[in-house]
Amino acid sequence: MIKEVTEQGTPYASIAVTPGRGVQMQANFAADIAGTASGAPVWLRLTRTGTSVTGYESADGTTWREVGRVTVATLPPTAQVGLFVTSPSTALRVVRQGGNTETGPAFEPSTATFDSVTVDPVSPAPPAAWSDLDVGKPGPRMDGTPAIGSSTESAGTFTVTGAGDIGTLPPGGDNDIVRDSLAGVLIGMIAIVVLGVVFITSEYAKGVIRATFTVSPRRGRVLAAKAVLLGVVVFAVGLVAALAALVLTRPIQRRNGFEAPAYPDPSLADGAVVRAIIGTALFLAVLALFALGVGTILRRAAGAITLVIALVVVPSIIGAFLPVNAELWLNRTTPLAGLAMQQTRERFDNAIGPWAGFGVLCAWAAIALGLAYWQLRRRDA
Amino acid sequence: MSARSELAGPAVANEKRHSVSASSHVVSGRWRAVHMEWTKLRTVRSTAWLVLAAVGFTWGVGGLVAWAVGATVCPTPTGCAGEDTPRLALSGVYLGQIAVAVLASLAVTTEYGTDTMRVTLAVYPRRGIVFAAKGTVVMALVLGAGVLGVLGSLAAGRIALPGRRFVGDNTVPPLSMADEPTLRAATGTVLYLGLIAVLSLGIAMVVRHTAAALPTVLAVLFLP
Repeated sequence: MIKEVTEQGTPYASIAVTPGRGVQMQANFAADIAGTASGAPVWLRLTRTGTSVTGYESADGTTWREVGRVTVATLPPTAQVGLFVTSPSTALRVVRQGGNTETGPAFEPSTATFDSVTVDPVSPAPPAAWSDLDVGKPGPRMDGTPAIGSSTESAGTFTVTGAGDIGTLPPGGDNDIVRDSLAGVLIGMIAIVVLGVVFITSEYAKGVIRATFTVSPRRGRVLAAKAVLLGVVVFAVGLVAALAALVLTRPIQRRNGFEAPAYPDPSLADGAVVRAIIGTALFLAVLALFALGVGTILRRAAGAITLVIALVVVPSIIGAFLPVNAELWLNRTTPLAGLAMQQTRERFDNAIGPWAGFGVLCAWAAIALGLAYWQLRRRDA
Repeated sequence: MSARSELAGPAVANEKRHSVSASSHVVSGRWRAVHMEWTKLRTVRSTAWLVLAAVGFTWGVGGLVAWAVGATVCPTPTGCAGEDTPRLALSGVYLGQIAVAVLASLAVTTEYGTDTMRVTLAVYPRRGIVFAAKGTVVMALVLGAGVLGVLGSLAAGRIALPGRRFVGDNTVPPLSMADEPTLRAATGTVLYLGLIAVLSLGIAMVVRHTAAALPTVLAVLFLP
């Protein structure tokens, strides 16, 4: 790695070999150029000309292949070079203290050995030996002790240990700003639940259902017609609401520091953003169908509204009191799992994938509508 | 409507027979209003179910949370000493309050839904008395259910917490009503449920429809 200074979050260029993705050349927290997919051991080299840094790899140390070329604009004539080892957070660390449960990433340092290390040309005033340091504050291991790095040298072979990130987190941590913009759906969905329930229970309350079934005796068809109409209308409303929420909240987020480059404006060319918007509309539509099913089964607005709202808010109410695994399990199995469609960032605390979560909600709706159809056919109106 | 005259008739007649002077008429009228509200609340099936749900959720979730909490993720063996065990044991109230809010809302909205409210107001034209009577009855019922729910969940927590090796080594004392903060938490929780009932009653009085009152009340409860 080559850097101007060793502080965390400063510009850099690096080349490294990874266990899973072969050789990678990275720079300035943005450029990411893949080399060959072969793993260690491998020969790696960085050369610089002015502010331009070129990375090479080789299987034998004689035939070199260029991996990529990057520009580190602030690289001074005399720069810091060094060997680095790191590993990302792989586990969720849970700490329970003073009645609160906190979750965060846990780090486990990795170790690598380097030999045949040369620097050319050698600095005119070389330090007596290589020195080592942790870039940034070491993160916690699973047991809470800091994951401190280290290095040893023996006859030109270096053994280096370390973990964590050479970058600093953007403001507010690793926020999913699209999801934040669409969070209003948690309140909006209450109105949608009521709409879905009342769409059928009001017919029972006023006895209109008898007229409906007299005109259209095939009850399954009545339920299907209601479901299609409700689904389409709620989807359209949800789509408009989600788009409007995104457009309206973006200036507020920008004013609060969520700006490019760490938080670029959400773009409709980004598949995850489109999925979050359409997913919000789909979530509301399928939730309305679930509410319609429950309303048909119970035939009373009070019971159906209470049951559906209790089911969707339970994870966010009692989840906070439960152990993290139980909370994750609730977020995976209750209808609220459908909100996973709003995820646009890979975060360590995401409970379920977007489409899998939507599938869970669809299963709830399918079961409710299935039971509703069965009950509708065998009961008096 | 025939139903209205049937219902209103005997009630008005009774009142005339019992009222001797103006002052005693007011007193007996108030208590009879309470009695009437109690009859209306007692004789619908949903009330029993909702009381059962309020108590059951409070016990069930509180016991589950107390049982599920583990000391394994504490930073040190005594690191969980700050654990608020009464709060854990009483966490079922977050779910139980849904039943309380629905019970109080339905006490009002079903009267509007079935037009019984017209009969009620024909019998007791002073609406303040009707509202006070409804509030008294609902609050008394909810406070009773709250006492049951809170005592039950503290008992469940007392059993469940040591079972998870969470209490011991003198880190966290067992739950006890003799502990002043625990007593305060228990009393406060019961009163909280009573106030949730009054809040729901008020919102339901304003919006009058079940389908509008329930989501409004639940949104107010869970908005934060």
